[in-house]
Amino acid sequence: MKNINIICVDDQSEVLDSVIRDLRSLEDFFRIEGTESSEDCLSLIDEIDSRGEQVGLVISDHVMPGTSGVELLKTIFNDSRFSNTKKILLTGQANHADTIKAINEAGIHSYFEKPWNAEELLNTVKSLLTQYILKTGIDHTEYMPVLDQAVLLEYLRKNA
Amino acid sequence: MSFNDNTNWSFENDNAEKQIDRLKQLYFLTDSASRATYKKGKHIVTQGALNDHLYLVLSGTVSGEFEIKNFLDTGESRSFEVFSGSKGTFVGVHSFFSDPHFSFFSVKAVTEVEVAILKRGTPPIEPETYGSLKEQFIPMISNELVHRNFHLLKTLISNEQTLNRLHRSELNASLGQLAAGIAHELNNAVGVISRKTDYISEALDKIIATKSPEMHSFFQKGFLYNAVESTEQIRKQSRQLENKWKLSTSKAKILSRILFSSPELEASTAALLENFSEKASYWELGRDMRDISLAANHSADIVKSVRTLGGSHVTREEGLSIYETLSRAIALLKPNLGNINLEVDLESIKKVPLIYGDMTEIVQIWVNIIKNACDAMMVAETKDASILIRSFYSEKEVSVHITDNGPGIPKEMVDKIYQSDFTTKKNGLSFGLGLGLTIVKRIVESYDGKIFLASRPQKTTFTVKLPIEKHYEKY
Repeated sequence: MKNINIICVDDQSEVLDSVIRDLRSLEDFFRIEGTESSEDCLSLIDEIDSRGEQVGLVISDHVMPGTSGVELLKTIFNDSRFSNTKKILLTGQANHADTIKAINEAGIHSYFEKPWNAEELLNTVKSLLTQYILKTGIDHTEYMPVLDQAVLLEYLRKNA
Repeated sequence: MSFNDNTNWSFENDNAEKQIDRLKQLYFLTDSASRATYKKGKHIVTQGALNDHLYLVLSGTVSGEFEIKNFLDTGESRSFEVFSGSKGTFVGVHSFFSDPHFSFFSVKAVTEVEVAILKRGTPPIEPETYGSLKEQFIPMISNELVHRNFHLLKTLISNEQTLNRLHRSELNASLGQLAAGIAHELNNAVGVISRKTDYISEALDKIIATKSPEMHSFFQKGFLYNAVESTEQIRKQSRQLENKWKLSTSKAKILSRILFSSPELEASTAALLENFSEKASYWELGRDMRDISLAANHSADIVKSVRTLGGSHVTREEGLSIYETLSRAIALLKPNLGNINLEVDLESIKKVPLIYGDMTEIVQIWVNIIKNACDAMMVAETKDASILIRSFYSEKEVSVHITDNGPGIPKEMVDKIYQSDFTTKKNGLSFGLGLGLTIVKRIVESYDGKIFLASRPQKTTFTVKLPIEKHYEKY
């Protein structure tokens, strides 16, 4: 258990703390990590991968010193080790071009604008992680309490 | 486009030039031709009056002016310059050749003017080859016409420029006012948040101290928590703690943070972990209050900076700290920094002596220089863009160095960057803070200070020198 990691990236520690806190109800099932830069995130996912764990989801801010969030998600998108990893862009400052790039080149699955709604974020995270678990063939029964029921039912119906 | 006199206004025609030269030689520059001298300010021809002469200016400057009585219903008369000329210019062309021979506008002597005169009725020379007087003068007439048209065109372009500049400065001014208005409104709201946060923090502190004294120190540790360790350090340590004490990730992280900030507790970790859920909650509560309070102060700072910039009154006072002006400027610019790394050498900045000055003006200097560097690096997509701010001082002056690693300013632009109509930015709506470096230079010079620029690719430094308090000369 707890082999699936959720990584939150935001250069502002108070914001990072809030994102992590909003996901706390998932912490019995997933490992929730935070990094304050894209560079730190990249070394963390390497570390996770070398431990044989998975990166289920990355939630990143966009405008940060150093590598931007969109660039970070693009790097992850193009890394075959993380081809199933779900990606959320959580930002208040991405312009139109950044957003287009995030969708086309970084394959993001969801976009949240700051300030975000905690419940909405949590539901999206659950739904994306459910998809991740089903896609990667991990035994979903271990995660029942936190899975998105609608996504799960749809999957079971299709695979019946 | 910037209008200047490098524009090629040449429309000379060699053949016409020759014919005009012949006319001058034959009709005006002979011994028998009449001459006259006009004192400065005198009319050579007068708008609406009859004119029988064609004049060639031999020396001095003339100006053709069209007068409008009751201009725009103001009851006042206004004159508009139609053309200007000096040696070689013909005057009275229209009225001399047209019928009736009334002057369309006045021509007056700007300096003392000497003219040669051709009277109407003078017989043409060599009419069999060159035709009538009118025919002979056609090249001159068309030449004058072209000159005057170009004169008007230049006036038109320069008017257009003036209008543009006016429009831009009005835009800047109104944006500044708008920002100041919003800031004023927000100031009250932010003020309430900031003040009430302090009240709640104090109240919570007291309540916890009396009701749950054993939890009080955790609330306080959370409230005073100031991360010195990196998230990576926390991550590594909390992972160990998690395994060692069988804790959840979030609790392990809180424990890790508590141990980092209070290393003396490490020996008694087992005791610390008794009832840890509650302790962790109080610690988090403390840290939440701290975050709110920091955020409220930060908002208040930004609002204050925007208000300062919107304000127009300038009060130069003693005891202004460069550190404080830079802090304000940075607070204001922070949201615009994007991924630019701002490195501020606080040590050097805190050391410099106080100056005599106005907060608004000095903040404007930094904002404009830093903003300019940011814009240049964003446009150039500079890699690992960074700005370094350092400060030095001597016995008489303080100097602030703002260095960026952007593309640099090309040599040919260096002389122009302080001009008010010079910009490389396509949309100049950068916050409505003013006219960038023009304002910077004006402010710096009004303090008897100096601004220097040293630029090459990857290293552009603006150095601003301002006199320190006791060396400032008050006017």
